[in-house]
Amino acid sequence: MSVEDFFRAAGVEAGYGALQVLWGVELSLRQGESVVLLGANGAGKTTLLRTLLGLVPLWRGEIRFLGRRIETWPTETRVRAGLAFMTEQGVFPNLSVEENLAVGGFHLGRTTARRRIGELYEMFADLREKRREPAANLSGGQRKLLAVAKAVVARPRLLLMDEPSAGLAPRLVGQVVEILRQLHRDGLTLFIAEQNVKFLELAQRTLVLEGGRVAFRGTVEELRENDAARKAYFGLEG
Amino acid sequence: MLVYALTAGVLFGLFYSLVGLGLNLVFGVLRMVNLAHGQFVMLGGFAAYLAYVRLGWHPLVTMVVAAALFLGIGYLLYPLFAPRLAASTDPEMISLVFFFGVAEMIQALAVIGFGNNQRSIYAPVFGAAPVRLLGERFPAAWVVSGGVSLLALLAVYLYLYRSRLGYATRAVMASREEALVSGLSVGRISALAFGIGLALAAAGGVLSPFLLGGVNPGVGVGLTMTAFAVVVLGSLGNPLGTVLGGLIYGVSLMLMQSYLSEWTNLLPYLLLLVVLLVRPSGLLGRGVRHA
Repeated sequence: MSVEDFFRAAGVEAGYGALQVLWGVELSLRQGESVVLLGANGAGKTTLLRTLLGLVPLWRGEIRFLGRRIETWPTETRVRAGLAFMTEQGVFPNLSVEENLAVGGFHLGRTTARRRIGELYEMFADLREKRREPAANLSGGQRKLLAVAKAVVARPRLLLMDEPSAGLAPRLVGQVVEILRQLHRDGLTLFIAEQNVKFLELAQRTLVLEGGRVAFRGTVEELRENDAARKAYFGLEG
Repeated sequence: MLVYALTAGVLFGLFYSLVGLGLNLVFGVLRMVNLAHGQFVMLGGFAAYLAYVRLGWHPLVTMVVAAALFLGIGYLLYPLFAPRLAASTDPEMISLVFFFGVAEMIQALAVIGFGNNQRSIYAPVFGAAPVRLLGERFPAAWVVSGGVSLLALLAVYLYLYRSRLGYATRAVMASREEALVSGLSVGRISALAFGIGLALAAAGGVLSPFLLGGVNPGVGVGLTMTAFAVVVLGSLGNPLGTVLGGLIYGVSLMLMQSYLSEWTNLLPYLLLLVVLLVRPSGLLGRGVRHA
């Protein structure tokens, strides 16, 4: 498997009913990269992530992960192959912290999952203290950390994230960014759909979606120097 | 009389909790109301009758066999109908109509197979002597049925709250999509939940001739209605709420039978209407789906 074969989506077209949202999106991720997907509300960021996971049917195009075509695979098979997805909700509010993590590591088997949850408690000390608490009782920041921990219990190769800053106070956004930085340092590939500029700290590359098409790709510096991309990113003139 | 009514109410309440729990589990996981639930309970009743009369099986043996059989049937049937219903434009409404059809079909087949007559097991299979509880005397069959129902409820509790598969089941109840992106085989877990729902119906059904006086093909409709009232009373999608709903129903039923017996048949409908008007999310509902 070449570096380029790690993850590749080509000519992705998808939508809901008769409404086409994505128009020939091309995406390529190298192993160990951290890429941030930007775009105004309604640009198609969430639809792209959900299409890559198989939650939204792919109309046309192909998706390759670790050298294999996965577009016909059911969602759970993609996840078990190492493609994790952290949704905006990210947790099961009715389950305790530990139960959430057990579900995240369900396909690992009991012993491996237990060991892995123990490792995660080292990284997420707050969660260990709240292990018996229902996720619904956690603060917004703790819930987001639980969502991250749940998404990585099974040691995925690639983590797709949908607006990890959603509903978080600014000081908590920094905490989530730090955890993601640590996971990235440990080798996890990140693809993050975000509108919060704080997450650009994590970006080795950026993509900007506009009207369901990739309007820009480049580094953060290149993004800052590109007026058209900035407009697409913020959805504003100037 | 009050102590008798309350104690008998708890015994019957445990039975109705068991019957309601299967319906609620299926609703929680599949998001479909199994309107044929009462008919599956009725089939359990006939299984108890036929196994005892034809084979001489003790009802508790029949209960284990029937529950295992219905578990397997439910697990195997699920993939034949659920994905098609889920793919429809309005799965909840379509499934309601679908299960209504299944209920009618089971009832018609039961009439063809067993006739319209009430079938009862008169032999004192649980012992002839009454059992004393809190100074009152109760038929042994009631006490055994209550105790067995309690054990079955505990087994479901341990499954849902103490096993990894149970966590996964509750995860699917909370959000099918979140469960999918967690790597869970939502289809298999749902099939298992449907199987468990039918197994609980069958288990309750085996006890039904002893608590309801007998079984006939027509009892399914009333049992579905009662199970639905029990589930809504506790909270749709909340298994623990169903136990509470069952106990409240059982105690109310016995109090009605003791003091206002002519009103007894109104009880499930009355409870349903009151809960829906006063607290639509159920006694343990908090406006969100629990599991």
